Amino acid sequence: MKKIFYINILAILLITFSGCKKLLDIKPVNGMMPVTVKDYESLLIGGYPRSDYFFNTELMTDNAYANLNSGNAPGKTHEPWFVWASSVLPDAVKTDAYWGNLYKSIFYANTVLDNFAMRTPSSDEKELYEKVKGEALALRAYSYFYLINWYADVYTAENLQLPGVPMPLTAVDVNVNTTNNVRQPIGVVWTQIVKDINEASRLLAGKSATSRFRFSANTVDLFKARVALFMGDNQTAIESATSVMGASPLTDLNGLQDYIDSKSGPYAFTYDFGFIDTDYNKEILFFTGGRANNNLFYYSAAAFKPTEELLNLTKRYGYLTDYRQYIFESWAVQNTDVVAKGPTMYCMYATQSRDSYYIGMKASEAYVTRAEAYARTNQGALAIADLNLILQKRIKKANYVPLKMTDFANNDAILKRVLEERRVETAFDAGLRWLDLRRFGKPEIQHNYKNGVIYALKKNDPRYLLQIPPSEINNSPEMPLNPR
Amino acid sequence: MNFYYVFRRKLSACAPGQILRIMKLTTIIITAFLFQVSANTLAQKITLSRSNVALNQVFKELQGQSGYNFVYTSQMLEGIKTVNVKLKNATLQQTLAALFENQPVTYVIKENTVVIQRKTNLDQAPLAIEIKGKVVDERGQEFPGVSVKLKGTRVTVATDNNGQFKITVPDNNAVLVFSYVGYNAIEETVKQRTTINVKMVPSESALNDVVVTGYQSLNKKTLTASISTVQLKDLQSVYQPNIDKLLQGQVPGLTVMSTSGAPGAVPQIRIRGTSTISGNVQPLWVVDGIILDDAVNASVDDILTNRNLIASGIGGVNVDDIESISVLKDAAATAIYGTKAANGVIVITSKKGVSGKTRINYTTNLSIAERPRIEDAYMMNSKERIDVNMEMIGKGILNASSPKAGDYGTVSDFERYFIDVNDRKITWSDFENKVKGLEEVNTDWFQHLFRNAFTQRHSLNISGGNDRTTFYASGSFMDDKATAKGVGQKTYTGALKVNTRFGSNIRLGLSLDVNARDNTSFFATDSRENPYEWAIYTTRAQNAFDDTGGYNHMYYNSLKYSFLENREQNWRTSRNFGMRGNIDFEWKLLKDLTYSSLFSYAKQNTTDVDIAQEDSYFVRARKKDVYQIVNSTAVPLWLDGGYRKDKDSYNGSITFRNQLTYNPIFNNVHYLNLMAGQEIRTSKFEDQTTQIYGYSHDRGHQQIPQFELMRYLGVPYWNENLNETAAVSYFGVASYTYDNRYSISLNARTDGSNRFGLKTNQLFQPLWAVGLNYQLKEEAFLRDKDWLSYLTLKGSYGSQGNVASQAYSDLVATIGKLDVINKEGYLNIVAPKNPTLKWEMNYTTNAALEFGFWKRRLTGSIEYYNKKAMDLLGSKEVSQVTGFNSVQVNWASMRNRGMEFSLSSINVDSKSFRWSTNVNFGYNKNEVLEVYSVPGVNDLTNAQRSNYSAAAVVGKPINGLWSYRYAGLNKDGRATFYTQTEGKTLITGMNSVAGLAYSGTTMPLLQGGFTNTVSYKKLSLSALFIGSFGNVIRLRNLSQGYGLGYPDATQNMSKEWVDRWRQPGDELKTNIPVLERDVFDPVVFGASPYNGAMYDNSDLRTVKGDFVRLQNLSLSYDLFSPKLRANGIQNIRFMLQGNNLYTWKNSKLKGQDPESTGSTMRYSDTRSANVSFGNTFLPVPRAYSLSLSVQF
Repeated sequence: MKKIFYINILAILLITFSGCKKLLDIKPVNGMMPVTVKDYESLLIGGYPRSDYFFNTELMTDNAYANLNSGNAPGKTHEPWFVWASSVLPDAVKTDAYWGNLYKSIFYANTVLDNFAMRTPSSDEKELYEKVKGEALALRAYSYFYLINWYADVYTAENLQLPGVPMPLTAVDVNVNTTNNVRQPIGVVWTQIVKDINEASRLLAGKSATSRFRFSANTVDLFKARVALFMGDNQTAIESATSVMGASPLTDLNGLQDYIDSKSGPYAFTYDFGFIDTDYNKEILFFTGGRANNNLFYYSAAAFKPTEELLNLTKRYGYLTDYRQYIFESWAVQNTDVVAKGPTMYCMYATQSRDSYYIGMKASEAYVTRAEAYARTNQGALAIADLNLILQKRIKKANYVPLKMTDFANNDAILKRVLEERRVETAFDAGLRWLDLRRFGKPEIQHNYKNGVIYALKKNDPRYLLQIPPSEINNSPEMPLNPR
Repeated sequence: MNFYYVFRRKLSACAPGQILRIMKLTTIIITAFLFQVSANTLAQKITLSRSNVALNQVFKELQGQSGYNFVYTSQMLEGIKTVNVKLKNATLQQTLAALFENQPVTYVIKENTVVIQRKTNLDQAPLAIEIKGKVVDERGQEFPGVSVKLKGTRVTVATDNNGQFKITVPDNNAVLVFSYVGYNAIEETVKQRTTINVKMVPSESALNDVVVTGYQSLNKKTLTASISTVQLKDLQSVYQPNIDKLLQGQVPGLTVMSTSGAPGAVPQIRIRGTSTISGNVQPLWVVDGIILDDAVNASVDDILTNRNLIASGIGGVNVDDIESISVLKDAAATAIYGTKAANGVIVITSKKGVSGKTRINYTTNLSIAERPRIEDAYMMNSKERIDVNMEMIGKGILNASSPKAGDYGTVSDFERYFIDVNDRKITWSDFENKVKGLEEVNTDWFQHLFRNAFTQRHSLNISGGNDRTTFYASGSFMDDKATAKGVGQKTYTGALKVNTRFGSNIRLGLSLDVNARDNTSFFATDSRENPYEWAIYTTRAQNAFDDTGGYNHMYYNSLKYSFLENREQNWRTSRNFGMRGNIDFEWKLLKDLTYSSLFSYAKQNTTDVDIAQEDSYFVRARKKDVYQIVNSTAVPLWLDGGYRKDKDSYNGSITFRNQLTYNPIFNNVHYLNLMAGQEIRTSKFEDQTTQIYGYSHDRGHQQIPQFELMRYLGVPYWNENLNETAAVSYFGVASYTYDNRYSISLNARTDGSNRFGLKTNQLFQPLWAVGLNYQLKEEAFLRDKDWLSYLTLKGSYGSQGNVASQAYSDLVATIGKLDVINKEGYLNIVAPKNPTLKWEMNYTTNAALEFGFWKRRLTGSIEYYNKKAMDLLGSKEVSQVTGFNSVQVNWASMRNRGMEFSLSSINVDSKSFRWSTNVNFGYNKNEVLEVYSVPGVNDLTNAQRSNYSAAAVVGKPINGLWSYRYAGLNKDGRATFYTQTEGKTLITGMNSVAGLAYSGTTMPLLQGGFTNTVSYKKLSLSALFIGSFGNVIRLRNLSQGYGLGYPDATQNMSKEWVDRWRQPGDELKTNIPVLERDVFDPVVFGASPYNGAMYDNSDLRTVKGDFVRLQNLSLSYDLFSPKLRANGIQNIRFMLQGNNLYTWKNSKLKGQDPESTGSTMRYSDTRSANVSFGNTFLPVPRAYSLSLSVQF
């Protein structure tokens, strides 16, 4: 009897002490704790933005106008952007999708970087480890690039000490950033961006690209060129852009002619086939920001549309000489539906069927970036040569005439031409127009809106900076707001 | 219903864990049994060789050898000489003759008994009186198993199955003691009688003297915790097959709110208010010590709104198998359950078998529930509704939609005629005639969609066994039909329990429960599918059938639609099968040391199938709405077949518990009870959902795959959810009682769970409680006071922790939803590293006074508690710099304070007439103490609270409701509202919290029940009233949250609209605004919150929710006679009862039930083929039932 009793007790103790440790390791609800480098790679992929973080800024630019004759009412959420309202958020909305989306990416990148800082990869993991780490750094830099450009003043020598954005570089405790965040100075944020890019560039060098939804050595170079251009570091911009141009040639759009002819009509790019669904697609190096098919311009009679000014830039050599006209032309028949549709449309993406993410970076950005950097460093001939590289692939063969130095009065004229080419080439991509307008000295812009009211964004208007969202005001009451 | 009655005595004897009682009873039974056995052994030859032994020693040996009983008292053997015997193969007579030689005693043999007599009167022959008799219980029913003992001896017999006994006594001065556990012992002196009939009376104290916590059985006199126990036999006048609803109005501090009258619907249950808002807010259900998991892993939202009907675990328990229900309220009671018990625990103790003759009990119940009536809903009649249409025509804004000539958008008959006039299909005079006809239609949709529902229930149980092994088997079947046609549930239960003993100190119990539920309900995509909502909110100016008797259609989005027809084309069926097996083992190692072990395995499988056939509106609408444009033409994507959604849920859990109990008594005054134990519990939820597009029900349940559609929808058609939890716990209880007067107890438990893992020092979190109990009656100054039966003062203090299931302190990621464009797999972070996350803690203080006067004619208790919940876990909006919009934080603390009161009295108790009263109520006040988040107007004014962290205000209850302050109608008939600025009113956009008025809480402050039972002879009448006070209710919404506009063509409107503002000046007479021409007019839609939302959530639309309900009225009659009993029928009981008979409520509530506060009319977009469990709201019906219960 006694023996059995003790055996019993022993059994209980055994079960208790051996079993519980393992029992308590059961995985959480529908989830997992990331462990391997591969897990962290998946985590990082989850960190790339899957919803829009830039497209609404197009409404604030000179690339968009309101088609008030359209039967479709302007979207309530789009309205404040278009009229440069002091806050672009709808009434009673506390959270800002752009601000939140970008910080989410940073949180994911930081989570990966925190883990990798404590990890020494084995030799067979090293390749992946470096790739994922490089991507994480690139993603963090990329997100801060947008945050600092949306919510803080432009990068200039005088602005370096002005408030930038909060800049968490670690994710070990979510509570650190729940309240009382501090805006780091503009200079500090840009320095961090450059630091992260350089490190990313080093880690990704020589590694093959996985997909166009992720950063690669090539796209980091392009991003580096963009950042350098924005910081006035033209030399780096030229070097990085050159590297990208070497890797990513442009597509000759003359190849679209057969398709356009087969459709025998102006509606070649609509509904289930967008401009992006042609060979042009090869030029796109980085897709981001979620599904673009239903972007705010997607209805043929949408309330907001590309401006005619933008469309006209594609017609400077005559009607249907530049294939990019197909992106912006509405083909509205005069006197019948031009009133409702307006002259322009945005046909980059199919509205259905062929799904696509937004364009984050494409090869031609490298070309216009280098051209601009050359122009800004008084190397007009090189700038013109780069312009010709683009035009040659964009203009119908029959109409193509290369640009020459003699076509321009001075270097400023070359720069103006380069920037026009940049405007049409990168229109509605990656929010570049709004970024450029800030960089170009925040010019005055006017928008006509309901009841004939003309809204104006004055030169150097403080509204060239988006306002810090209410969720931040609630939780970080000390944070300085952007002036209005 | 007499059911409980049959088992009452077995139950009170054999409740699980009531070891002491079982032991007592077993001893009695064993004794009686032994005597019977020995009596049957015929006289044997006796061999005896003793010298100088006492006579009684010899008797013992003789008893063994002869099988004869020896009846004597110790007095009889006074002065008897020791004896010397040496006999071999002697007869009993020879032996006795030898023994009694020269002794002052003699003997007489009567049957199998040797009765010893003192030779007091030598003239008189020695007596051996045989006493016969019958024992009945307080109701006059035969009482088997009662022990009849000859006082001063060890001679005991037990009554047989007919309550009969036979015992031989030595003289007329002999005293018989009749005893039975739970009954007062009766002593009867023989006094020349040969027949002694006795009526046993239950001892009130004994009935309740043991309280079951699920881990222990505790003596009420030493209990320090707050536990209310309901004996099911006390509720036999209430027929209610749902346990949770049965408890309504029975336990002070237990708030039960019926959410729906649908079969199987789960009411909201709160014990002492809301103490946590994260995780499950329902109390923990425990059956025979084992936690009962719900069949489906339902989230908080499911509970706050309405969850899957078959989800509740408790729904599979047969009420007839229950003996008692204990509600554990304070920390001292629940600490032992650890982290899961923050919301209180409800412990169910089931019936067990009793030895003796096999007993059979059969009960049947038939009930009829009344269908709802449109008259009660306070909606417009045809004429009034047509009047609104005519007004719209007058204003030129009739919202009769017609995409193009000959087409109808969403229209009722009226609008269809109107479109026909415009299309010149009919003339204006035709139209006028048809409208006149419609004004008289007054269709009562309830008449077509509802019925007087007939529910039947049958239940059978059998119990019996011998002294070593007992069994209990039961089965029940219920066909529960809802008042809504086609909605019902069939429930089958079965239980088998066996208890057996090995040797003298080991007991083994096995039990197996199975239950199955088949539920049929409506396909629920939006409120359009809910017959109740439809019947209320659909215009009555619409014929249900056309002239030919076929369905009369209205049009929804240009599709022909008849609700009646559609009901046949889509439906939902749910099936659930569950089983639980328990093994419990108890081993008395030493006199005071017991080891017990419990192993339980439970498994449940639930299948929900939603089917919408090809012709159903759901499918037709999606077929129409989902298309693709190819070369400027719309190409449909859903070509064939209907829709089906299957959800399979599996849930399994294992509990293994070991306990050691040591309860010695020292010097008769020091009573110690030590218990230590360990428990491992794992549970697993798993569910898979499959959506089938192109399902063809008629063509052999096949799928015609709609690949194009599936690709277009871009979501997987299959998904799985997994949830595994594990906990390892250690617990202990120490209590000490001095002299039955002072008790002190200490409970502690520590749980390790796989939920929290970052800080290893928090993996195990100890929970503890201390308690005191003081029995004043045991004090010298009260001990002799007859008027006082007992007076107890007790108190406790303890802490409890709670972990929200969704709270993690370490990084947790889930696999991201498939992205059709970027197909690379990815992970989403659901929980960031959150190392400062703490356990939610509850600190509870409890004080109680319990009293009984005049032999317990009046008993009651008063209890006070203060429950402080610190570091409440919840989701809080934070800076987005974190990467999240909200994170799990410890965001607030709050307090629940309250009083509970209960009183039972027996007002009259004469031979044939008895009147008793029971009243109980609980008062609870909740207050938020600290909060670290900012409230907003939308959340504060939302009566259907879900985002607590944005609606908590310090000093106010967590369920506090704020309202916009109605400032009257303006000259245009629009509702205006005060703002924070004095004198300033707004029509729209009052978004300052300072401009709101506090209206009160949505949870009742006071809830109680009041029962009166009157019985006269075999007839008894009982009435139960329940009441609920102190909360506020929002009246039904008049808008959809925007403006207060004209309704959709097909909708009916509240009768309140009849008094709406129509012309200037009306604002002085009415508070019902004008119907807006354009709800998007900036005047009413300018800024959020919009005019409609403000009006619906204003103080004008907020009323007191107090109500009193005549919940139950029952009349029962017991039929029993010697003739019936001769035929084996012990008793027949008839009962007639009415449920939910009448409600006294605020007159402003009009058609609204004060309990069912859900139900907002909502339409969802047909384009997303997403089936929700929908709004399952059905009103709780008035029901009448007839029960018959037969005991064999």
